[in-house]
Amino acid sequence: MPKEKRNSLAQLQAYFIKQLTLRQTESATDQEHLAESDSLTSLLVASHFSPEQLISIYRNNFVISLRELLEQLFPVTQALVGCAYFAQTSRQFIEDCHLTEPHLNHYGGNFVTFLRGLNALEHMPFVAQMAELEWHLDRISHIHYQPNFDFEGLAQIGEDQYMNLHFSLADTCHLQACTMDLIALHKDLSAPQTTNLFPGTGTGTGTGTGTKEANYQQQSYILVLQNQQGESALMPINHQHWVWLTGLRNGLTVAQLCNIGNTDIASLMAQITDWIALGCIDGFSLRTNT
Amino acid sequence: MAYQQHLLTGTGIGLRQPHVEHFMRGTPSIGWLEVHSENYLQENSKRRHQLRHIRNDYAVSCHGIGLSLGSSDPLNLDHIKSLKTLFDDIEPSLISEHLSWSSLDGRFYNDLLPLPYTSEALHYMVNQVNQTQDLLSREILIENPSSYLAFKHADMSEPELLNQLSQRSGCKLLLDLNNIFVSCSNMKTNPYQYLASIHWHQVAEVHLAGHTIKQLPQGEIRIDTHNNPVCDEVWDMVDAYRDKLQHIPCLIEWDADIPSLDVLIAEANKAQQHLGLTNA
Repeated sequence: MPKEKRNSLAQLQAYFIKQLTLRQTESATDQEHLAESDSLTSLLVASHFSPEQLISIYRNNFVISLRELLEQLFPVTQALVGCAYFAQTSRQFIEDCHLTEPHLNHYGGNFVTFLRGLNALEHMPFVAQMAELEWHLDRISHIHYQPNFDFEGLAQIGEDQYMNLHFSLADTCHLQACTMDLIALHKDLSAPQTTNLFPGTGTGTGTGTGTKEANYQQQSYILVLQNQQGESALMPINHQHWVWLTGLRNGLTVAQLCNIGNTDIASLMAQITDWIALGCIDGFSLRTNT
Repeated sequence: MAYQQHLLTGTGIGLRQPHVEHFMRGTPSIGWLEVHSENYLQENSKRRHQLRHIRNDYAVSCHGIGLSLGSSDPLNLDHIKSLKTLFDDIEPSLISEHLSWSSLDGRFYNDLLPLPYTSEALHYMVNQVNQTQDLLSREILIENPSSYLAFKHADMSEPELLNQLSQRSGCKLLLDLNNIFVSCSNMKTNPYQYLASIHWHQVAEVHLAGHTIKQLPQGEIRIDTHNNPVCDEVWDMVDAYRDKLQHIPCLIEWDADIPSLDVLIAEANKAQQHLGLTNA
């Protein structure tokens, strides 16, 4: 690159970023590194340290800060796959999935999507499922939520109108269907480990010395919610509740929920009352027949 | 929202998550608090709610790291809008950002990257700061960064650029004495010469923090890590400039390996003593 062009602010920044991300790129050859290092020397005031050493300070700040954030957000996922694999995957994520916002508020959600797309985890979908669970546990724990359900308004609704009611799920709720018993797995991996999580598979942190063999191989349905102390919590739900809650999330009315659940309105309304008490349902609306 | 009026004077500390509950339950004895703006952008978050509560008892300043003012990318108007909503909500006494850039072509690097100290960069920063102040309808402060390298084609010093930036854009300066010490140590320049070059009437806030010395084969380099107490050399700088500093709000920054609140308050009280002020 001609010197005068490289020195313009835009060109200099493009060049700096190339240096910052160069060592991350596996395709860069030694010759490329050497050539770039020479160019960098011509740009920087001479010091005791090589240009690469100086650039690496910025690179480390950037990469390490994001890696630490991922470790903080996904401790159980890290325990599940092991520190080495998590570090390698985090690094790959940081390289491949660019941070496109000036803050980190949504960064963890992208990591879940990234894990879901990894070929290496194709036969272990529960890893991305665990990451999804941890992401929503963290997200929900940060929401300021004060249930304010309009009980008086609901009392004004005549029973003949109940079938047309739609109840809305609070933002503090997340529904997740899993191929494994993720709640048990989450609990075991969060606690000091005494269980051989996956006997004979080599998966997991391998720090346990206990003899109890856990069986996580069962379909599960999970409701992540904010409890009365304002903390996020995991609640196992049965298949029928899963169907109803996903129906609510998809905007179905009481009549439609009764139909798909093949149940009577009294049972459904009793369950809805429980969910209102738990803060899972934060409002209602009356749908007109069309 | 109408908050009680509190003056931002003396020494404050950065409000960090492990200490928030102390401020929710009581009013620890400290002059004022600074928050990282980007941690409070979400309007329905607990953090924002907590900050509104704490704001009733303390003057607050908002310190940003995401505006990337020195980037050749256009200003991120969505981010500025979110910040303005936060500032309208919290009514901070001061708002600050950095003499740096952290994004290019829409990708962010979560670090403060170095600018060349050139006339072009100064002109560019003046425009960026002007636009930002107009969009926020507020004056902002610009902080000097920690430097690990310098560009050969620079045609002015960092304090010269800061002085001119403040003069031309009307922004004020946030002078980080630890950053000055770190940069001057790494660049083998004199921090007292730096301090002597600064137009002090443009300085509206001062930061004090700790840093780390990293040993490399060729020698040591100082890294701005904010994970330690303020070092003796920086306290010496405070002592030397006490007459000027005691009229400027001063902050103890501690962002990593965060100690107990008592330790932070003790560090703030130490600053008060160096500044010749009485404790909060």
